[in-house]
Amino acid sequence: MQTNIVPVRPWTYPREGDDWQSIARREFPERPLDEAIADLQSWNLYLVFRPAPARLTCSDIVFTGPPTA
Amino acid sequence: MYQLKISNALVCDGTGSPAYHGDVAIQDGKIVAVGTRLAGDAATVIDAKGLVLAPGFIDSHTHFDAQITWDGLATPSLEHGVTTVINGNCSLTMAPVRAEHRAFVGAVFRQIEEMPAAAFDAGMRWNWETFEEYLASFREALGINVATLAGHSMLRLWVMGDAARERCASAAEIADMQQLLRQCLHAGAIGMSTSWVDIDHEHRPVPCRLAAPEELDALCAVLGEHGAVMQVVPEFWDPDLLCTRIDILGDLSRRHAITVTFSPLFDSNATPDLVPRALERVRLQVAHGARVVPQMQTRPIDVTFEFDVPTSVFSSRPTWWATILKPASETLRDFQDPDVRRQLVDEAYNGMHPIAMEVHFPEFVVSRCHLPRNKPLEGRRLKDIAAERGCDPVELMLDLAVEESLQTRFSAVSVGHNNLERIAGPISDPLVQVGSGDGGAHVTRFATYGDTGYLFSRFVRDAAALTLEQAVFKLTGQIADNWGLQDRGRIRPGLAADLVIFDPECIDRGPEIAVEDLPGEGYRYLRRALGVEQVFVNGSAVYSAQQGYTDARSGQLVSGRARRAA
Repeated sequence: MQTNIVPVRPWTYPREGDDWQSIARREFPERPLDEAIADLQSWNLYLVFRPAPARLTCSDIVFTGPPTA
Repeated sequence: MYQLKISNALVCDGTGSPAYHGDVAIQDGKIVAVGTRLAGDAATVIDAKGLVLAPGFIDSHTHFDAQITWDGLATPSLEHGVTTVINGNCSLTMAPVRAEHRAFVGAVFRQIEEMPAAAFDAGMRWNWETFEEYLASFREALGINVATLAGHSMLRLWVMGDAARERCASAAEIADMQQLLRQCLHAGAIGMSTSWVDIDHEHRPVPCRLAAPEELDALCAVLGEHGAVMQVVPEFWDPDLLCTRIDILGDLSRRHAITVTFSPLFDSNATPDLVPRALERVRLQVAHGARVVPQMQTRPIDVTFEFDVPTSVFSSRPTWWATILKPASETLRDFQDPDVRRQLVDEAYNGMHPIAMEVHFPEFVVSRCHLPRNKPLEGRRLKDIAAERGCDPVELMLDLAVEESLQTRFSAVSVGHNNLERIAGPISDPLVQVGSGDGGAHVTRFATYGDTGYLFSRFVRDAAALTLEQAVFKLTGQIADNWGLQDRGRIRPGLAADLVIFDPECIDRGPEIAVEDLPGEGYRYLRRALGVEQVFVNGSAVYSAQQGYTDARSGQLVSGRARRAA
């Protein structure tokens, strides 16, 4: 059943082996890489500050847009 | 002649319909007649005048997976009126587990569910590997009904071995997991649990978190084939993350025609808009055909701790966390080091709160002292003792801990999910199921029992957020409906005679107490029930307030729609 529910924020799943660079390249191919990574990280602090040895997993949500105001 | 007749009760039948004065007759473990002034004699007649007769309560979020193998009563759940517990939540189950993974599974379970290692090791026989063997290992000793989920992390471990902790699954491995899940459902699992949150004893994501979306989708397809349920732990502390997860669950529910339930729906002063936003999202998904069920616990969070074991209360304060992660001798030394103490005190007042909690050190209560001379301090708040002594409350806590070699027990009381006004509305919402109690878990940190009595005392009697009938429905019929437990949860002829008789004026939870009833060494926290008079499981009396537990072992393995479809 298809719905037209609009996500609360744009997001994506990481792929196996992804890091911030690969996600930034995929999601924002037109943007300068450093800038895209900085934005991605600022929207996903819960992943940035996830304590080692935990890392990005394929079931994580990575927001690709800022929080709603 | 009936075996048992309960007469003159105020019958709350588990549908939410108005209560009525009537009788219930029981024969061969089933309810056989319900009505006012039922004709016919009975071998035993119980006069329940002035008391409520309700279906036995169903506790949908428990972790008795280990305890049930040595304690078929799942104490003290029965005495709180709970006649059915649902185990296997949060991706963690004791089966299917290959022999070579027992040590890992045990370590993860003890870490997440805070079960003392000595008790776990002494109690667990581990004489099974498959799900079917696990259920068979304890079914004969059950005094309570048990329904069990298959844990997604265990499915991965079984199929992938240690790689389950490292990577996504291949297509062939996913197919194997599907087949294994089918076997579990056929053996009696009522669904599958997974988690997007939990970490193992080595602070790595539990295996199910390594699953790619297509793996979860494939497993949900199997659940759909069998009419089974999925339980999941989402990022419950962040509104955007939680709402996004609700959307994911909505999609899975629609695609596979399954009920998905998440726990906990948790209120916090840090994010007071979370619960309303999440409920709005659930409402939207339900309006679009999904079956997404949030579970909300009734009680606030209390955490009891000693400084020789790390506790999450301190996880957001780096100096505290680093200090209590050290061996006890080093923690003791740090607590006496002036420089470290200065940092600790500063962080105590100015540090960040842990996720979803609000921790105020001066409010901590001294709950148990080791030295006789300090016993008068028990039950008192640090700030009150410090005011008498003219010292700082945090310094006082450190001094006490040092004086008693870290054996003083402190309690952080009501540190989360404690705003009655904010919680009363959502907990009465028809979309919200009462759950997330966590029975059998966190046993050395807080008592996870008595949420049923607390629902009546706080939300029916104090806050008047629910009627008596609505509260009973939320603990019985609603859960049975959500989980597909078709022969329980209501008082109706033909259904299982799981029944509780209680006093509506005084049903509640008792104070938190520490008891030493675990196998091996160690203690656990629990609460005794107040106002629960008698409990019946499949027609047999298993508990009464006067006589305690009986010898009846009438509990059953409960299957949902899944088994019937398999």
